[in-house]
Amino acid sequence: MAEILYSLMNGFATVLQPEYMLYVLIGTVLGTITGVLPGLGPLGAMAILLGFTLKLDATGAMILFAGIYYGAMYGGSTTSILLNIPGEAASVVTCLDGYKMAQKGRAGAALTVSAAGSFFAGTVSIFGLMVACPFLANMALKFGPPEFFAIGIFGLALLVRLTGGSTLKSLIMILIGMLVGTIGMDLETGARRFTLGLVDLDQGIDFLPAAMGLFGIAEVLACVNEGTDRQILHKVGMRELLPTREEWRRSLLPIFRGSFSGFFIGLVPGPSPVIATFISYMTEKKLSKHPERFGEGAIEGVAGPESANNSAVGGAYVPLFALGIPFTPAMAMVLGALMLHGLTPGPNLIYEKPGLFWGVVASMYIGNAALLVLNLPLVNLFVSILKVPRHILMPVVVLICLIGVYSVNSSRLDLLALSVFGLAGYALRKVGYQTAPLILAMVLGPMIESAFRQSMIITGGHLQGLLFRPICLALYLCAALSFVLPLIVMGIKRLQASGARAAVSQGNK
Amino acid sequence: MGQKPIIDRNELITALSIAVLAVVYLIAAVRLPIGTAANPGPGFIPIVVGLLLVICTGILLARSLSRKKWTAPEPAGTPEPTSNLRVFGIIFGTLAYPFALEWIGFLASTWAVTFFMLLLLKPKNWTSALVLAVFLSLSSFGVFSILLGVSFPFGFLDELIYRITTR
Repeated sequence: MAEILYSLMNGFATVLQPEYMLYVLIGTVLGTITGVLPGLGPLGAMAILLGFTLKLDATGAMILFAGIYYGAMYGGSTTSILLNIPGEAASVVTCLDGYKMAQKGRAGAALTVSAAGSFFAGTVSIFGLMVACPFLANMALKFGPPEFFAIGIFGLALLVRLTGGSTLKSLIMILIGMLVGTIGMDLETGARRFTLGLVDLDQGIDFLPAAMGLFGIAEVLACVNEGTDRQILHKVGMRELLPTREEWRRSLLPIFRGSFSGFFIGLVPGPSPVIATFISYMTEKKLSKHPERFGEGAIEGVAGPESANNSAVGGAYVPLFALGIPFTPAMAMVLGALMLHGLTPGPNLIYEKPGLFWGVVASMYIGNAALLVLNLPLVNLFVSILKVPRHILMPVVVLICLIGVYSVNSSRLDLLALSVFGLAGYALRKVGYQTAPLILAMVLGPMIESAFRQSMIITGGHLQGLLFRPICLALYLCAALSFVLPLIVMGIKRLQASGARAAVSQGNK
Repeated sequence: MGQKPIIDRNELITALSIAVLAVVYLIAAVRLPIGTAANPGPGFIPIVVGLLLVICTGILLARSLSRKKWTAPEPAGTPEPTSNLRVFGIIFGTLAYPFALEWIGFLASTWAVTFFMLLLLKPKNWTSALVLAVFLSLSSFGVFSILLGVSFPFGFLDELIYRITTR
């Protein structure tokens, strides 16, 4: 413990240099702005800045990226609450209750609870990152392909249950996501799959244009299609920022639960901040005495998911720093930045470059504090970006999406994919399909396929080797329970209701 | 009151489109090597995904055909016909951008697409759209190309601005 504290102090000594403090500030402000702007999440911002980080040293680059990632989580919640526009995917869930709270005049309370929860969660996850990193890394190292396959299936099963709306439609979206994920060259055999003879498609369809299309362009199209120019902005006064005692009381446990669950979910592959928000929301809804309040402006539905997504950010850094494996697309960007500087992440990095690792950890502390201090008083300033008339803002968002996508691979195909996904996302939303499962399945699909094929090779084609390992079995049971439990609960409720009706009719007689 | 049950057309069209996609995908997937249980080939998972998608869309189609909705008076917030034009206009802009980018360079194409979209959303503001498009394309060139070093296809305008700013 003393060694950790000593290393952390060294980290603070590194990051408190004016140059690095400036990167923390730039990162958090840029992150907040990208989080606020729909379509341009942390991934887009990191992608755009990837080349720019070459002008910094590796520690500076990492600090900048950490600031962007955290800042985007804060910024994303702001637009979710005030405008019902998730600035990035991890804030989609916040829209459900955050915007309802804003409509009821409680936007300030939602923002403060979200910021306080994010701060607490950030601190928890950073603590987890620095203390539990070796232990958790060791545990994750024991996972083989069957476990990764089980994690993927578990994630997708939860997605079907968590998305809301029609289960069949969610399942279709997941299958389409997996379909998109299979496009490109098969990494194990080199076979081209569904590339239509286009060499550009050998690498598959990139995550960035798909995400920006489904969330950025589709959002613009939905806004444009609205006949009337609605008043979208809820202005928040300083006094309104204070939640009531009751709101604090209701938020404390969800923040606590979201912070811890988010960190552990951050350790698993896939878009962990997004999954963390869904799981946190479902958990809070299940635990609530008033689940009917969810979707109608329940503060627990903001506090839990917002804490969970920030905590998952810290968790996502663990596999990258400990194993050198990026489990989320954003971590892939961080990995890219490290490799641009000639560094190979992995267990040795912490020992070979302690200044970098502990500097990043310390920068997260400072960044979190800076976000809490800056963002709440400046919430109106950040949101004022969205005060720009819609007929100007929408072309700007489209422009940022176009430039953001092009800047990564300079690929015309990526731009075409952006348009196609934008139109598809808009059309699907119009007929009640949720696009979040599609994008998540697109990321998880290739991982699941690879894990499945490796598992089958390891087990010699025997399914029991895939199913009956302890961790796998537990995950499959959890996945099955997520489907069976609601049916059981529904059955019990029906029985209770019919029993109550029978009792009433007997009483009347 | 003159109302009659009709099939939800949008729902049906979407289900049909997904069904077509699923069938085409499955046909293409079947052509890939499936492998063995001990060594699944590149076609194994696509076939499973394709089959599941065909089954799910089949159920969805059946549901769409059987579930009818009642015709109702047009709700107050129904989009104007022009808003569909705007949607397709924006999609046209994004589709045209990659081709314009490689043809006339970053500045001119960014200006053209921005001007087109601004005009599409506010047709009466010709002058402000013109000025704003110039401002947006120049500022994005400044931020992304000059400041962040992102490389874009250069046209004659980009060349000119780059020479002026880096002189």
